[in-house]
Amino acid sequence: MMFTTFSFILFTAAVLLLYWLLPGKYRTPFLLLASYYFYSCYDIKYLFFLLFSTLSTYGAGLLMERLQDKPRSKKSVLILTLLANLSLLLVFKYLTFFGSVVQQVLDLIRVPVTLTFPQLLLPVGISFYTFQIIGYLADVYNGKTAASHDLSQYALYVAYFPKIMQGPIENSANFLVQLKEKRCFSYEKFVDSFTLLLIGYFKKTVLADRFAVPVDTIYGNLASYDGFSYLLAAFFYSLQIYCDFSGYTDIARGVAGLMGYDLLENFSHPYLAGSIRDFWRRWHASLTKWFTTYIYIPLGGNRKGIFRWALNIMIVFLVSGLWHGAAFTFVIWGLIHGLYQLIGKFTRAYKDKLLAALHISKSGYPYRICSVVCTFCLVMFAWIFFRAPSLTDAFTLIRGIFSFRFAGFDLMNLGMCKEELIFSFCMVPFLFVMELFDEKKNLIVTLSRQRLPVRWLVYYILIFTIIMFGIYGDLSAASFLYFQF
Amino acid sequence: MSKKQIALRIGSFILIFSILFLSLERYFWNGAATSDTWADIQDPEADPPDILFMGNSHLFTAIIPDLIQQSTGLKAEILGSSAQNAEITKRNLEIVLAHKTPKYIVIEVNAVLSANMEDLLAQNRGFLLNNFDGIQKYPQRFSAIKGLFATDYIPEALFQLFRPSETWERWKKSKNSSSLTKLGYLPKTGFSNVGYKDSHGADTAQLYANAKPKGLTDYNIQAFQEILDLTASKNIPVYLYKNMIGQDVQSYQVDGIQQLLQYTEEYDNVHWLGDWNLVTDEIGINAYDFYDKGHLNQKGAVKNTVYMIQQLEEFLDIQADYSSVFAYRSEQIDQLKDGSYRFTIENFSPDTLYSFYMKENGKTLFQTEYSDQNYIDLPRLPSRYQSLAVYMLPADCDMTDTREIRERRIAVTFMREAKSKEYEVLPNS
Repeated sequence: MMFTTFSFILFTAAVLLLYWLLPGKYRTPFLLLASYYFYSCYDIKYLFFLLFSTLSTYGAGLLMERLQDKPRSKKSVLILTLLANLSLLLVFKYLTFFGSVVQQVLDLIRVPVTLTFPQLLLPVGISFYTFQIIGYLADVYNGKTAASHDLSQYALYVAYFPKIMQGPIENSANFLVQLKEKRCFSYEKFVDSFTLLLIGYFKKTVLADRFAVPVDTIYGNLASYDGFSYLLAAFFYSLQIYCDFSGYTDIARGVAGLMGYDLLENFSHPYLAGSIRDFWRRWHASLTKWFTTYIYIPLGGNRKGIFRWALNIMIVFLVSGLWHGAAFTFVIWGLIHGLYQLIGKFTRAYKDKLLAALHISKSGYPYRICSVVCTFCLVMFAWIFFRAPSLTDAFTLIRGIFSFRFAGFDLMNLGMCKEELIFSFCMVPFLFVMELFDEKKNLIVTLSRQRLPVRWLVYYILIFTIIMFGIYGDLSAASFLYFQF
Repeated sequence: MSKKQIALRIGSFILIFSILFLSLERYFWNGAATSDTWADIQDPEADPPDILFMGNSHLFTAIIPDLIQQSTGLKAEILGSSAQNAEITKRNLEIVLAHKTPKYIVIEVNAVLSANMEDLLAQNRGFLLNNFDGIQKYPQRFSAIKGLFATDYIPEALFQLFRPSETWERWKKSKNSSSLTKLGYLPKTGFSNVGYKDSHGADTAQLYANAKPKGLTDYNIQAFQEILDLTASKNIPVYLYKNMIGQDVQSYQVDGIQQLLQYTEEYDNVHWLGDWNLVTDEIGINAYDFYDKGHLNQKGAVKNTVYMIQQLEEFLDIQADYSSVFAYRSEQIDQLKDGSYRFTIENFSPDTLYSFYMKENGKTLFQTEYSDQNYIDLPRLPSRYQSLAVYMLPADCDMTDTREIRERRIAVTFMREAKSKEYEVLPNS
């Protein structure tokens, strides 16, 4: 049941109606049942793994609370539960990848052994909910949060349907706390969440899936395209992945908001970032926060000298790459971002000196625009590895782009008709203008301050734009990109 | 804000949305989806088609009307839609005959043998999307709307609620008109699925032999008889044939054809062109001529259309002349004795100049001068990142005018990487 399907809209409408009609004490169990139904729509077998993760971590949380005075036992419980849950993730997501690496090594040293692995179907959302429960366990272990005593609340914290597929990766301090509180209907919040929902659908169906057409066309047939087409594919993919993932998050946050819950804000105009560091504060913030809290800081962060810091950064981005996918392309993508951070840090002093010598102010518009454009280009370059089916394809694309062969480029050869192309190209500046406006003024707050006819006009325009220009339905709409992770 | 006020506000929002939706829905249709064939048939100024083809997707992916028109001079048009069934075919014919009287009608009988309305309404998305306007009974229309909702075609379903039955805007002319134009075939008369896919076809004869008999239903018989009555009333010669349909053959059964032919015996205007699943060798269809398991690709369609023209020559006493047809005809890869490969391409027009070129990673490795040599020898097959293509140009083109060259040439990609990452050498190599 994808977010872009009619079934999901019907499902959400029904859940919403019943949720607000039910007395408060029944809402959590009801939402839990609805979430399990939603999850089992993909495959009922997935539910087993979800239940295992939920029950094991719920029990471990309670046990750790009881073992406050026995630190070694408490640690054992933590490690065992982590191992059990991480091994599920490792087996389903990484077994084939690591197996193929081992096989390549064996082939290299000429060991005549052929490894075979079962083709396992990755349970949807496993990367997201596993990280969430790891965070919960670590917080309980460190005493940052109290163990949940209400199984239905905890199970809902893990399985809440708007976020189970692609996050945000909620920490217990934010979401579990909300589940314990009574939700009251607020018309203003309802309207704001509805707006967010519409913006999410607009980003996904009108922008992301439209930008996907030239991307898929070019990436699917690299041999028939040239340098400029490659550049265009890389550019559109950068926009596609942002609109796709942030669109999903907006829909998830919108649906949760309609029920009175606040999910974490995952995106904060990442393509307006002035540096890679800034980009990671704005892009997939819940994941960045998770990595910072549960990997970077425990590793020592920046407290153990510059080289240890560099190593920690590279470890974090390596894990981030692997989290996104079991392939070398994702590993390289992660390492590139790690390198960006290191280069940024090591060259900062020289850059500041140069700026001072040239009398360029960091707060001035020219510098800010340049840094935003440069950051975007660096991110776009890294996305090439993220999207490419193989490293060879990624290098083909990069070689093509840097060959600067722009002759013979045919706009009509991008898998779109003329009208679609014009529409897509018009949407690019539109997207950036909206991002700028939202950064400065906050679109939803601005809209909520307008008079009713203006607000409704905007809603109708959004709805009709989605209906007319959106790409949806189970045949035509693309899956959300982060769905696979 | 009180609960009553909130309910009132939400209700008003939905009401205004519904009014806006109803007012604007006619503008939502994509103009590109309008069928020129239907427009032509309903245009009182336009000449009637000499030969009208009717059938479902197995027909409109297998016959190229422009090729027939250019080689025989007969104005040929296709009225076919995905999963079109007997009742929709009859409905189409009624509308056609209300406007125009074609000289000849060719009906591809898969459309007559296919499932009845209830089955299609329940399961066939292509049918729902392409035939809605032809569904006459209101309970069936509501079933179709339900089906569309169930398959997430939300606006399609919403719009259909309010669409008048006599509109036909939803007939799509082509799924991929740009590549069709590049092949030299105009898309306007209905030909789709031209993606250059070397998909694996199937041994259709074997599949056919294994197919389980499935008789004609009363529903099909009734609609078919009505079709025959309609044509007989206008005294239009009708030619029935069954196109080859790859792996889908099992779902369309054969003893149905025998039954169907029994009903044609009393009609003098009806002729049987045969079951083409049984003459694939004669047509020259092989496994590489299929777009998917049930439909021909452009190569298959070219062969199939040429065979159709041969049949028409026999029955209609006409003479086909391909010399003025400027379009891709066939290709071949042969391995020579020294191990090198010969890539041969053929245009219908003998007065064609060819220029082969190869690209690697977007960069042109070489391009031969335009000449009448329609083959090129290469020491090996192109690598994964290379693609071999050919430009074809009419011989009367002014070679000093680069703009004319660009406008008149057609490009055909000869071969590129197959799905399996291994090149698939055609069977004649």
